Amino acid sequence: MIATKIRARARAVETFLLTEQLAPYGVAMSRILAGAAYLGILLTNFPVRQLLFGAASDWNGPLREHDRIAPWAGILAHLPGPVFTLVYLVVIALGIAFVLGWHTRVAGVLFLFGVIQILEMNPLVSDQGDNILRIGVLFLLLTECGSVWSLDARRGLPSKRSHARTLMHNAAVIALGIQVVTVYIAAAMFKIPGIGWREGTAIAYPLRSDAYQVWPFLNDLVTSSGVLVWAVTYAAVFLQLYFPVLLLNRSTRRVALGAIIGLHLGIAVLMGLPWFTLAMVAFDGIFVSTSTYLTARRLLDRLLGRWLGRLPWRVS
Amino acid sequence: MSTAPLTPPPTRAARAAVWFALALVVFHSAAIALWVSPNNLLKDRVGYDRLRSYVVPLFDQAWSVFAPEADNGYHLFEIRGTLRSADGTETQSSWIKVTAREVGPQLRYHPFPARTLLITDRLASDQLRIFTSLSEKQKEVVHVSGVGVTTALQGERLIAAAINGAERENARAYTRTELAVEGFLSGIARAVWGAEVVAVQYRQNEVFVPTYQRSHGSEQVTSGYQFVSNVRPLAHLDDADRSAFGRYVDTWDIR
Repeated sequence: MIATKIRARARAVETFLLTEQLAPYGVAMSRILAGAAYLGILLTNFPVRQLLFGAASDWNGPLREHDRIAPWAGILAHLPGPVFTLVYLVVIALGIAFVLGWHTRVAGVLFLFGVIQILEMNPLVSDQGDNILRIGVLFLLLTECGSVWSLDARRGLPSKRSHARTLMHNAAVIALGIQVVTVYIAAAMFKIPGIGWREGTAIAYPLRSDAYQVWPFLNDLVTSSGVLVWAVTYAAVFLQLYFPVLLLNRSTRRVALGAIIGLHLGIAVLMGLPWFTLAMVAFDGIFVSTSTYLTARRLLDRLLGRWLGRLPWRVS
Repeated sequence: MSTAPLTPPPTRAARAAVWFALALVVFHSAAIALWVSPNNLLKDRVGYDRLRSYVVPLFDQAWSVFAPEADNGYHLFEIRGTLRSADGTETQSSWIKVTAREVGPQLRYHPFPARTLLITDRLASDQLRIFTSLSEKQKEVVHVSGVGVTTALQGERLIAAAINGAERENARAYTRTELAVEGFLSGIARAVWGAEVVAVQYRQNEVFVPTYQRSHGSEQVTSGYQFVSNVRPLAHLDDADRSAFGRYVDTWDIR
């Protein structure tokens, strides 16, 4: 009896993973936001590209040679300045194609390769946002992230769905979901032994440092209240630690996603880390249900009228 | 959460593939979870090298972000140049707080800052951290490096002073960081003082936020100088370097 039930359940899992795509709109949103985060990094560093990554970055050579992630991540070293600028612009163009979903898979593979090459020219100034973007986009390239909200979908490309592709998509979505949850749990576990996190004062320190003050009056507003400092500090730890549990129920999932996105927005605005934030929010996006995305799009359609209808994401 | 089902029904091979794919996902996720977790018994049993061989390079990550203690400040590099005039006389410039030109002005009211604001904070932090890991004998080598001793020569002396592989590796790590420090600060010095500058010296301290409960404002305090380098020759700079550093320093309100 039990064996029969297990077999039936296993068969249902097999059928589901071979025939239905998990989170088709979630991965499309992740593609758009993760691509935008990478583009943001490239564009905000464009004026100092030679000093950080290009022809004038040899000061960083000893660290680059030792710290880069792999021998293949160094092909841009010693390029003349104008050639490096050309490569930089091509990678930006590939990023725009990836965000818009134009030849999504090819553009995505080339974009990821190019952006890794650029950022690995200077590991000294990298952050964990670079890591989660590299890992997350790598998973996205295994999914059908260009099947909706993309120029590919707008062009009405014939569907190439098959059991193999659907399975690869679903396995990548599951792996990406577990990766995101792992990030939050690990981040919480490292915080818990910290005195500042236990006392409820931890967030006050970076917020009061010049190294993280974009809008000093906003930081002062937050840190002037001990209760607020305590509440945000504790919320950050508990939200990260219990994030996977909160995802299990529809109502708590909405609360968890809303709170974690709010936390990230706070980090972006108060601490000047917009691209790290956007990267994290991008991959949180796979946990938002298709019905929520479609409802949000209908609302946007209604609010913005026909203007929105001309944009690529009008295609479902 | 999902799209309309595919037809025709899956074959037996396809069904077997599902479990293979799920096994891969479980294996990968377990490896990542162990890699990013704090030190623990299972992680030790599996072994750092074995985990690393799977995770690095594509899946490398670390999530001890703002932990166990949140960042409470930054490391401040100051430099001064040795300036040689046309008649050959040499003078010392006044000290310039390089990092203070980066972390504050490049971030304040700039919600989308460039990564240049991280350079000297991280260089200074790495340099001090690795210096601290040197043996007493190696630290002495650094301290007695006099005027004109290059980073490369100092590196050779540090390796000669090492008594085992770990100390040799520390010496190499320290020299790598020093070369980067010297290269970057040479570019800054050339951009600030022009062709007159022939040597550079740096020192560093920490700017940090005092204990929250005792603080009634956002004042930050400064530690004593934790490291003062020797006066060393300027690193080689080509046209591209001079141009890029010049444009960068032009954005500072310094000259």
